[in-house]
Amino acid sequence: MFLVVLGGIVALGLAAHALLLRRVGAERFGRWTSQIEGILFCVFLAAMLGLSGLQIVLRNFFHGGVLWIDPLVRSLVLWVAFLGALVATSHARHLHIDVVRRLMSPRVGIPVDRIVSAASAVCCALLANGAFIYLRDEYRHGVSPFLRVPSWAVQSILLWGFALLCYRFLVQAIWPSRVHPVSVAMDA
Amino acid sequence: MSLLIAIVLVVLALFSTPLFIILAAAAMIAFAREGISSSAVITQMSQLSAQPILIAIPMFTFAGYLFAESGTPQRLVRLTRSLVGWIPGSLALVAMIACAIFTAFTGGSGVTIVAMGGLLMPALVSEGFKKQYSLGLLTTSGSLGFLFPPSLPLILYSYVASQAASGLTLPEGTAPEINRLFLAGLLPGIFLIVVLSVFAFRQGTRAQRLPIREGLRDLWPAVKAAAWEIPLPFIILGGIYGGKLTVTEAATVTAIYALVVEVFIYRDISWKKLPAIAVEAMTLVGAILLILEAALGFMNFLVDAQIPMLILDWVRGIITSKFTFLLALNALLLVVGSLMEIFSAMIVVPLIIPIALEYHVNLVHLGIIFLTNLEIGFLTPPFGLNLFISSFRFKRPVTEVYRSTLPFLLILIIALLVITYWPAMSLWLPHLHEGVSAVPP
Repeated sequence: MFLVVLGGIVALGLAAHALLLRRVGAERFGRWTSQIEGILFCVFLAAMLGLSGLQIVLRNFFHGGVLWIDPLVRSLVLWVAFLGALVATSHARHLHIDVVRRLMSPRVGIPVDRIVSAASAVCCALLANGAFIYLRDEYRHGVSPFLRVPSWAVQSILLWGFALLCYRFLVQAIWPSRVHPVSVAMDA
Repeated sequence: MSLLIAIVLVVLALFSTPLFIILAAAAMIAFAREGISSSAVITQMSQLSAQPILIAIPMFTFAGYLFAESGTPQRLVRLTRSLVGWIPGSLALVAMIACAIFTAFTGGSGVTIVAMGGLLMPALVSEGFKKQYSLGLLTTSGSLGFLFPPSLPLILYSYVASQAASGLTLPEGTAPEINRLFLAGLLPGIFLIVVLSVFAFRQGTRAQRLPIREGLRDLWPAVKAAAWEIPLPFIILGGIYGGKLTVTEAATVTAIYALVVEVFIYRDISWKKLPAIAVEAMTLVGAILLILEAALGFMNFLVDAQIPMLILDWVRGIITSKFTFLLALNALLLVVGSLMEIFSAMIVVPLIIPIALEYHVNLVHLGIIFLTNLEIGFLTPPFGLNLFISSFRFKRPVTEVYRSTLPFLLILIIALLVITYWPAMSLWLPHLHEGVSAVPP
């Protein structure tokens, strides 16, 4: 049941993606997404740095601390991990063994990339399904980690994350990016 | 059926499928066959928000990328050069030390070759070092810092090993805690540099007859230029071992410090560049954390299915002494290191831990052996990661990189055997710090 709903949403997303690509062009579209990514990461990083920094000052100089800071920062790590994984997907920067891929010509390599991305999308859909089951349990029995924010809300990134990863992998399968992972590492 | 699934997964992995997908798929399939829901894998991933030590990963990575984008590499090289410039062949030493420090802060070995290589290669060649020698040296230096705090690989090993060993009873003082591992890595790390320097010294006396004269005269200006960066290692180590900071807090302090120093004081990095750097760093963090949790999810299944015990029974039949076990371990890890990069290689840690304990190998010592092996595996032909990065960075054919790295590789393997069979080198400092006088075998 969940997988059907997810499939519908992802299909809608892909249709919107195709429309946007045609309307604004791949280049501008890419610039928008990387701007949004940049802003999101800066906000998250600033929150993590600011809050943990404050906690260190409080602990060392005032012998106290705020109870909710530590669990909140730990939750931010989970969110940052998934956002980072999303960016890694669209830039083909996930950790992988590329010994064999490196030897392939683009004519063989790009179809292989498409199959690999499609298989990864299927796996992410199944993981999203698992996350849905997990969150359902968490909704019933979860204990709030901080500030009465329900634990399922904090953990919900597991569901969004894998659903979006599924979508991103499908985008890769349909419109493969031509960036070779090693060349990206070189620009770093 | 299982065999077919395994083959499909291995083929997909070889065709550059993200490894976290392979691991998560393997775990889901394995659990499904036991009638356990796929949410078991997710339960492990939710642990990402429960482990304080993991905060250190985004913090140190962000700091590392800030340093890489700033003028730190230049200042670091200048400082090291003015310090040891009077030794013949010192520029090789400069390269190694600067790269080691840089790697320790950034964790990923690829970044070091990319950031430092462009700076050091022309300098080495212009001072009379052979091109081939310089190429080998820089390729080798790219992973030389794994053993120095606050290296990310050490933090990750500590995390994975602690999870794998939870529930097992360890002898006192041998739990793979990060503070212990940081201390344990210091002497072996210095040892590797010293061994390589002897080789560099021989080459250097041949290539560069005159020591760099301006060296000491430049010391004071070089110190002044790097005045804001020099205190950092002391703040981190002093904070951790003085009991003022936990490792996680030290990571936060490093990130804040790097941000303030590079953006406000040196102004090497403009505000506008920060989002791009944040994206770069967090992309790596996402890739690392996901693969880590997928690996731990898979590990849960392996432990449930008692796979490590099966391997142990099998190994027990073949290997009878600790001596041969360590030799076999080294051979295995070199192969692992030559096939994967460091974060994926963490997958094998849970598999070797029960076996290592059976042969009375200290888990702190095991961590040092593990990382030294990976460091060398990266240089092992035909697939070692550094060989390829170096080939791209310096635009040399990979076969030439093989040849140039070979002498370094042989020296490092000898050093590895010393580190492996002389546990006291790794364990002396942690024991000293904790006040345990006797070094257990």
